[in-house]
Amino acid sequence: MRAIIEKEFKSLFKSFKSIAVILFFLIVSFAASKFFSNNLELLQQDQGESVYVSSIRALVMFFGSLFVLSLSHDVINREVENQTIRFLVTKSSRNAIVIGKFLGIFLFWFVCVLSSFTVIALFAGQLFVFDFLKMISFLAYAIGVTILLSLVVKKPSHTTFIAILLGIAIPVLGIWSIASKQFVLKIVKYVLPYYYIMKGSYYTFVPACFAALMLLIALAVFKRRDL
Amino acid sequence: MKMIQVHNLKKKFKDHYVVKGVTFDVEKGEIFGFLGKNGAGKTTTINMLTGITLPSEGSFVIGGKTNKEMNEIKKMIGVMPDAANYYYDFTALEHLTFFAKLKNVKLKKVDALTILDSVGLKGHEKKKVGSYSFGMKKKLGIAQAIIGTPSVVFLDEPTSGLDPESAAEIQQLIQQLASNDMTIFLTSHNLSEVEKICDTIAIMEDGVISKIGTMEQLRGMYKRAIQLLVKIKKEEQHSIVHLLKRDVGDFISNVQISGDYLCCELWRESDIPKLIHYLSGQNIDIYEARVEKATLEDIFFDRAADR
Repeated sequence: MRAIIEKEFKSLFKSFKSIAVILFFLIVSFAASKFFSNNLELLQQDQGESVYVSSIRALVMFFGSLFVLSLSHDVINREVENQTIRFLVTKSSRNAIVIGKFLGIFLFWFVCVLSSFTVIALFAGQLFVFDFLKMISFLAYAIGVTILLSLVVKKPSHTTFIAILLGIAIPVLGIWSIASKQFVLKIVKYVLPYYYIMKGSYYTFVPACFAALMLLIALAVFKRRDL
Repeated sequence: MKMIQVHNLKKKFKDHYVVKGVTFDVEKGEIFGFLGKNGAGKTTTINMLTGITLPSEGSFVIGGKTNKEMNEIKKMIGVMPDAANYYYDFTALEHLTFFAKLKNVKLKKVDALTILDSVGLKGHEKKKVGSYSFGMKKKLGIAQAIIGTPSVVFLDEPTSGLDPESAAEIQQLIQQLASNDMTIFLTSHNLSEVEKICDTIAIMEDGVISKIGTMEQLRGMYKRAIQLLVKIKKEEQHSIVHLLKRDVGDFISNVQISGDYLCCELWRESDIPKLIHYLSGQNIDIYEARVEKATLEDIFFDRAADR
C-alpha cells in the first residue's frame, strides 16, 4: 500500500494543476494573514484570532470539492482505462489499491492545508488546530466522493465533466441546504459536510466518517469489478 | 508436485459464457502452454488465475492456496498481462522499483539491472517507457513479472510482436526460469514456439479445453500421427503398395506413392521398425527412410477442421 500512497502523492505534486493549487492556497493564506496582522483592530470586531483562518476556511469550503475532484477524478478509472491497473491488481490486494489511492490524495491535501496553516500560524503567533481538523475532515469527505466517482463512472472523459458539476453543486447545495426549510434540501443538509462543519464541536468529524463510509463502499465495488 | 490445479473454471460476461469450464493441472517447474484462437478464452482464463478477473464458477489452487486466498496467491506469482500499458513518465528502472515495492520485495538497484539485462534491456533502464518500442515494452513486461523470483509466472503472449532474435532470447529465458524450478504458464499464438519450449500444451477452443497433454500425448491423439517416407526403387513402388495394404494394413494407413517415395501413416512409433522389417523381408532395397511427425500446427488445425 505504501508504494501506491507514495506514487499517488508524488504524481499529484508533479502535475502543474496541483502546483498551481498549492501556490494558490499559500498565496491566499499569506496575503490574508498579512492583511489581518496589519489590521489588528479587525480581530476585536470579529471573532478574535480565528479570523486569521477565515480566508483558508472559505477557500476550502467553496472550492475544496472542486479542487479535489478536478485533480483526482480519474485516479482509478484512468488506471483501468490504460490497463496499468493490471500491474497493480496482480501484485497488491484490491483493498490496498483503493485505500492507497485515498491516502495518497489525502496526504497531498494534508500537506497543502498544513502548509497554509503553518503560514497563518507564523503571522498569528498561535496554532489553529481545531480549524485545521475541520478543513481536513471536509477534504476527506471530498476525497471520498472523488474515489467513489472514479470507481462508479468508468470513463475518465465522463468524470472530467461530472467532477466539475459536482465541484460546483456540492458547495452551492451545501450552503443553500443549511438555510433552506424544504424537505429535500433538509436531507441534503445531512448528507453534505457543511452543516456539520458549521456546527463545530464533535460534529466536525462527521464528514470524515462519511469519507470512511464512502471508502468502504468503494472497496466493496472494486472487489467485485473485472479489470 | 502440482503447482496449479484448476477445476471447472467458468467465466460469464452478461449472459454469455466466455470460459465454459476448464479443468487442468500444472506441475512444478513445468512450462505450460495455453493455445487457442482469438476469443477462445485464453486471456480470460489467465486473468481469472491472476486476480484480474473474478471467476463466475469453479475454483483453482495455486501453490496450495485457493482462489479465496487471492492475496496470498499474488505473493507467489509474477504476471505479464496482455495489452497492459505502462506509466509513460516512468523509466524501466522506476517501474521495477515501484512494482517491487508493491509486492513488498526488496529489490536492490543492481538486481533490477540484472533483471533488465536478462531480458535485453541493458542500456535502456533510464529511458522513459513512453519512448520504448513495442518489443521493448514486452521485454519490460517479462522483467517485471520475474521480480522477487516468483514460484509461478504467467506470461500472456510473451513473444508476440518481437523480432525472431528477441523472441529466441525470451524463449531461452523462459526455459532458464523453468530450469530454476519456476512454473511457467504461457499463452501464445506461435505454435512452433509452444511446441519448442512447452512441456504440456492445452488447446482451448470456444471456452473449453479441446486437447491437453505433452507433445507426444497430443500426437497420440492426432489421427495421422506419424508419416513415414521410404525411398525405394521406382519399379517396385506399385507392387509394394498392394502388398502393404494386404499384409500390414492393420497398423499402416493411407499408403501412396509420392515422387520417389512410398508414403504411409502409422499409429505408433513402434510400428516404424515393424514396417522396415516387413520391407526388408520382401527384399525391397531401402535407400532412405524419413519420419515426419505431426507438428503442433497439424494437431491444432486438425481440430479446427473437425468442427
